[in-house]
Amino acid sequence: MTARPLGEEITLPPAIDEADRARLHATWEPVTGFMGWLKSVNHKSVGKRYICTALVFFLLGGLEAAAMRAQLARPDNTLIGPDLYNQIFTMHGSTMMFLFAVPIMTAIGIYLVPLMIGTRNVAFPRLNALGFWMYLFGGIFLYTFFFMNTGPDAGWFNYVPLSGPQYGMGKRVDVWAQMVTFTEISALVAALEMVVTIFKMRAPGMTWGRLPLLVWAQLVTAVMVMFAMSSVATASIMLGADRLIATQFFNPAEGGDVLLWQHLFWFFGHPEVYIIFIPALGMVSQIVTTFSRRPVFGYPAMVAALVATGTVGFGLWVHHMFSTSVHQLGQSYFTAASTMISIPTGVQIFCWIATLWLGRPVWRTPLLFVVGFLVVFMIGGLSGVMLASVPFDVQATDTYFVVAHLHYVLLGGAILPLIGAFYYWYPKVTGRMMSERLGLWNFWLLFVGVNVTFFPMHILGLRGMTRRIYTYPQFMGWGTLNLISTIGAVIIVAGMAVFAVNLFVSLKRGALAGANPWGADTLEWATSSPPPPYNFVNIPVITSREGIWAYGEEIPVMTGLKTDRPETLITTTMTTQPLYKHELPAPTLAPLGMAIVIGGLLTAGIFTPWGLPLGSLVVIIPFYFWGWPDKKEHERNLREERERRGEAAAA
Amino acid sequence: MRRVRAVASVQDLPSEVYGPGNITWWGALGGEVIEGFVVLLGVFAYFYLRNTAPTWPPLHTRLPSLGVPTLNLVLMLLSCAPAWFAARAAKAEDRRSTLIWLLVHSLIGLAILVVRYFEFFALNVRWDASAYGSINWALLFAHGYTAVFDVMDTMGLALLFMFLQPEEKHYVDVTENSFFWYFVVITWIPLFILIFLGPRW
Repeated sequence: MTARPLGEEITLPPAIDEADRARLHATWEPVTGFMGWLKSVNHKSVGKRYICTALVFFLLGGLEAAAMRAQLARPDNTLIGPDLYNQIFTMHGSTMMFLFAVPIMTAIGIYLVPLMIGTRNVAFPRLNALGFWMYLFGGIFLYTFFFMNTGPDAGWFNYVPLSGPQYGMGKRVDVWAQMVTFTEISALVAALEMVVTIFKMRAPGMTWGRLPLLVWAQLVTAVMVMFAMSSVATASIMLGADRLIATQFFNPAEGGDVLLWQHLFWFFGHPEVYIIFIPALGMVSQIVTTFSRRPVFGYPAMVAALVATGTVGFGLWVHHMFSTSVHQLGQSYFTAASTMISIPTGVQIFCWIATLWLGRPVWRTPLLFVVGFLVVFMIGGLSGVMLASVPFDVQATDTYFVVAHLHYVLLGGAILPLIGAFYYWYPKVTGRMMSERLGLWNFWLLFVGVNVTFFPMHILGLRGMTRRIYTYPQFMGWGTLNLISTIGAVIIVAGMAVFAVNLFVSLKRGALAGANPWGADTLEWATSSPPPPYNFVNIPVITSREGIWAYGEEIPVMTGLKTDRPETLITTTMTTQPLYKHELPAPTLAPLGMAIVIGGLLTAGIFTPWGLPLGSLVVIIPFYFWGWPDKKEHERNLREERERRGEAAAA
Repeated sequence: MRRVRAVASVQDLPSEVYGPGNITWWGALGGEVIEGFVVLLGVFAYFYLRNTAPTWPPLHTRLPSLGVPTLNLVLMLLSCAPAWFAARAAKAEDRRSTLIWLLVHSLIGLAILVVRYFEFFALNVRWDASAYGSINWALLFAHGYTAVFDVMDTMGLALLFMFLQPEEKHYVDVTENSFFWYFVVITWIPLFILIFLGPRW
């Protein structure tokens, strides 16, 4: 295998002239300015919005974490009282899981997948925009109530009966349950369109065996979201109903069952971890391939590992419930399954190491983050295997050991690769490189900070410090380790500040990137940086798993898509044969209008049971507005259909 | 810079196809998977609660009535006919027949929703009386909600066919709408057995 030089330029020049190119531009971005922003249904605009919004929530979640670390820095601290502390840790968990981690992983898929599979937009662009608005409104909804001292306070998994009508007073838990509804609508529509996009819109030649690993990861994740989010939706609606209209799902006095909540929640909650983690695995695979300068080692094993992780991920949820009255046989099964999940991850880790070993690694910032990921994630994975054992888990349940484990897994398994991915794809999105020097600072501060913050928590947990306590007395002897942990948090903040500075400064001062600054193999690097609104002038044809590395002197493309309307190519599911030309919708306010109506009904829904039925009636208006054809477009289509029929008849 | 070589033109490809080739079909299928899984989780919750209950239905709770629900089951099964005929007419791109069948489908759909309202009372238990009441109301509601959206879609298409000359894509939409309606009907059969016959076993 010959190693490829870094920085090799490959672009797809036009098979059409400049006038056509200008027309394509006008077709794909017909409205500009503020209205254009509100109406946009382009996957790149929506993806960027998602990413920016998720980063804002990341900042808020991070500030909440910092506040908690400040409170716990010394014993008997009175900086934050118990009630606010309850709200802060619930907000931190809910924000990071629902408003940051899942949306940002989705967002990166929304931005990159159409580019990586050689198409021009996602399958349902308006639904995509609706998903973003729902997510944005859900986040605003949650934080509005939080700032009114009505933030959820029963922990991010809201166990009943603490969150039920008997103990969860006021509207705090309802706010949480409804925020889940907002974000679940957003996640479900994004997952649906991701699956359809990947199934039906891959460029000709991009068969399943040639699909980039990040796209595989996004596909597995999207399928997981469809099942996992349905579960939390069911659970949160039941919880809301118990609280609002006195249903008895979780009330043992009337035949309900509190553990039903835990089953439904963790059937979502555990796969949720993989929903965050699997896209990160895809990012790692792309980064390792590019910077090893060779195709990834063991592609079929990698794909099988992703699918296996996604499948087995649904069979582990009860390990969150080992300290409840689970049958012993069940415990044994879930211990075995929880241990088994480390096998596919192990396979991937060995494949990455083999790829690096056989390639010529180029040590740029993204690869550095991948190595950081391997180290931190392996520590988290090992403590996970420890927790899979029932006797150990029963001892460690609800202690800081679990907090240490989950942060090692999530920060190691998702945040480090994610930041690596920012360094890797930033040039594609903005056209400019991020600073390598700041990248080094960013990496080392974060890597050291994560370990200094979270490693002492293992020991604190083993010494009996339980999670979710707002303070602790001095005689417990937890002060020093907590102080070290808080110092670590300060280092993390410094690392993230460097990251933020790098993001902003590089926007103006970063070196110009060109189309393919890393000399990578996947299709997104075959178009300019940032990509034009239509992604590709012509739909490329894929000839090998190596993507654009495999092209010789000529790049094969498909021509014939119209330039005066947003057309794209739909292909067959297995063989990617061109099937039909599909006209995608023009920019429209319908998704925003729909989101406003649904947002209104969901907000009303926490105060009155009539919110849902009445709101559903109102939804009809934007629903019909959405589906009703645009007059000009309609007349044009009818005219063309008539002409086609006339031609066919004449022939 | 490398050269680009056009290997084929897609100019003459159609702008729509019927059935599983179409992305709308996949969208509908995805919707069915999500809705179906929500219903399945409801069924899981049903059995979970039933397993932990000493008696099912709880003591002093009347069994559900069968008259109204059986009527609705029959209506649902019947409604597959206009859905099927609408899809067939749509594939033939026959505007008049499609419109007629869409109207018939809409009317039966509305009738089903009205009967669904009375079905809640046929449960003979309030939603807040017990977990038994809650889960049965929930299953009925979840299925009803899906039905409402498909009836709305059918009515929307009927309006479109009435007031506009339909395009090819609207004919495709009619076939996908019928495809989704079959799903609504098919999921109802096990739910009917579970909700109305289940407590009798």
